[in-house]
Amino acid sequence: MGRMAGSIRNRLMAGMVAASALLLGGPGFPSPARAAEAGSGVDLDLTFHVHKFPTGALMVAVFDSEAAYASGEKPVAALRLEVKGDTVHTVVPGLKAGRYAIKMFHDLNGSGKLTLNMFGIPTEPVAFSNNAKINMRAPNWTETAFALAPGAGSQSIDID
Amino acid sequence: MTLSPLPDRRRVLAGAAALAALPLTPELASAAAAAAVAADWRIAFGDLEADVAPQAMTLVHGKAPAGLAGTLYRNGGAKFRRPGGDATHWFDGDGLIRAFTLADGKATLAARFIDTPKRRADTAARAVISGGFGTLPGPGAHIGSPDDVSGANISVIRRGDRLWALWEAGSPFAIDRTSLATIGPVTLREDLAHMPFLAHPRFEPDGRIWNLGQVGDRAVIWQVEASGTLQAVTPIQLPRASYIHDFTMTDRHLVIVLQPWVYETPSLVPLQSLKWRPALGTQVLILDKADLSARRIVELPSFFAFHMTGASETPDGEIRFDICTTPTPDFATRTAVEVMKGTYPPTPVPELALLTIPRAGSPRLESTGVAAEFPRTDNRVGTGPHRYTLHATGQSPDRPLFRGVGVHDWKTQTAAAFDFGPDHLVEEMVFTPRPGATEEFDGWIIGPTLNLRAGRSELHVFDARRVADGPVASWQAGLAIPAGLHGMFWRA
Repeated sequence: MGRMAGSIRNRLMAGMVAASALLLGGPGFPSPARAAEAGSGVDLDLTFHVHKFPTGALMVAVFDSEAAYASGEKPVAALRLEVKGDTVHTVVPGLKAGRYAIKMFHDLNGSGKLTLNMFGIPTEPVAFSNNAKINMRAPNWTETAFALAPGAGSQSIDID
Repeated sequence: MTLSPLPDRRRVLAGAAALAALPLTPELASAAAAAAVAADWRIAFGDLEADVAPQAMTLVHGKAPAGLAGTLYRNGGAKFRRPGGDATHWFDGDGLIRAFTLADGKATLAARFIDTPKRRADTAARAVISGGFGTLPGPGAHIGSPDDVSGANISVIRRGDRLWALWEAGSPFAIDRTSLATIGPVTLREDLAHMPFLAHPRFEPDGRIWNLGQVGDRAVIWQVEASGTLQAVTPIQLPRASYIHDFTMTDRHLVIVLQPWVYETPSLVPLQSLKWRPALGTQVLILDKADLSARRIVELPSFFAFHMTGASETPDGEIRFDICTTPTPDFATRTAVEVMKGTYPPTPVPELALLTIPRAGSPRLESTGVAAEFPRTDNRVGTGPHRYTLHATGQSPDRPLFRGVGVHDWKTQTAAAFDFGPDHLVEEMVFTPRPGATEEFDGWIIGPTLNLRAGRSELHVFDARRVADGPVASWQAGLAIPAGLHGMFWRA
């Protein structure tokens, strides 16, 4: 299992666009969801709307704490989801009720890693839970965290 | 239309006798002030609300020269203000491609905004939220890469059968040359998406370009075929994190002027990050085109410049080029902000200078004293020496931009110019050769002005060797398009 550069980092660009660059770090990919045994816990229902590129794979990491989200380490689930159309659906079963956040990228070139250009700008689409957007910096836990209540919960995320 | 030659500024300033000869009586001065109110320069920095469908321009002077046919494509911001917030710097408008087409003695004008992520986001938000060179990003912006900030608004070049609209910190945007529709950002290689690409590439005789892309003190050297295919991209380290707008090139070397306007404090907008440090002086980085790791650096007293001409190099390695310099970057830091608010603070006017860099010994910057910006040459000289430099010239003291067109003859050291008078603002003009002509500058100068009194954009053609005689043909459009920056003539 490969390991990606640790954390989300802000990098200030000193060019025409100061501070626009963001690096999306993340957990190792791919791996199956680290699911608890079926039938226990809460199911997180995830729907991804893929707007531009109906190919490649979505690399999705689910975190259960601000520290894990910030560091990109110890996701409670790390998924690789093949993209064959404009919608991708999956269920992450067996989570505890609580607060979660998701960061993801669209692996278009099959490298398994988020590809960056020579100045560290991602060349593949990235997205976050709550559809929080990059605005010079990556969205933080406050912007991306959502509550997963007992029973079931869902997130619908747009990418590309 | 006023048709009077603009005196060589050096001679005007040469002595009291020349100054005394200026017909500036109090009556004339107050008449000029009244005219200034009537002919408002602020339309140069106004907003165009929609694309301009192709429209015939009205011939208002002279006659189109036989043999001149093609399209002058120009770029520049043309939409700055939205209900929820404005672009606060002249460099941050939405790019608009203007196409002035000359065919069968007639002129037509069309213009179309470049469909950038910035324009889409700002339009949807009804506010300029995407930021820019000197404009802060606003709430709700989605800025995942520099391409989301790009107005694609500085220049336009030809690659293959397409136009590329260029900005500085992000990708070129490909444009269909006929419909002016945006095709989209150009990714030269999958791993090079969203890379910086400056607006002033340098051309080899076969159409290949060299260009720079820069982030602070790191840069890449781009080499792109005439077709638009990537040839090479080479990372380099700059000796300092200067703001770079333009660079130049000889047949053997890339020549990069590194002024002491440097990125220092991290900021959301580059303008706030840039600090003027004149004590550092201005450096020139010279790279060997055959081996980009081979370099030398020469040192000069501090000066600022946006633009320069192509460079030539003698067999013994002396490099020469023209450069339009000011003592400080005041235009970029202050004036380009103030004009958006409708005020013009007096600002140093750039002067045409010759920069000579011998193979050994000290470089020399020698000013002609001639007010000059937007320098262009006969592109056919390539990296050879040029005799003539075309430029905008002459500035009214109460307003930005220029009112005259100048041609500097380096052989005779004379400056010819035509003054459109206070009612016009002159944009960048370009040279295009007469079909079949081989001598340098045998052809036409073509470019627009804003006729402030009429409230209309105009297109003018000069005989390049007789610029002081005024335009040989002038056409007027049915509207005013805000002042643009850079363009190119695509011969039919």
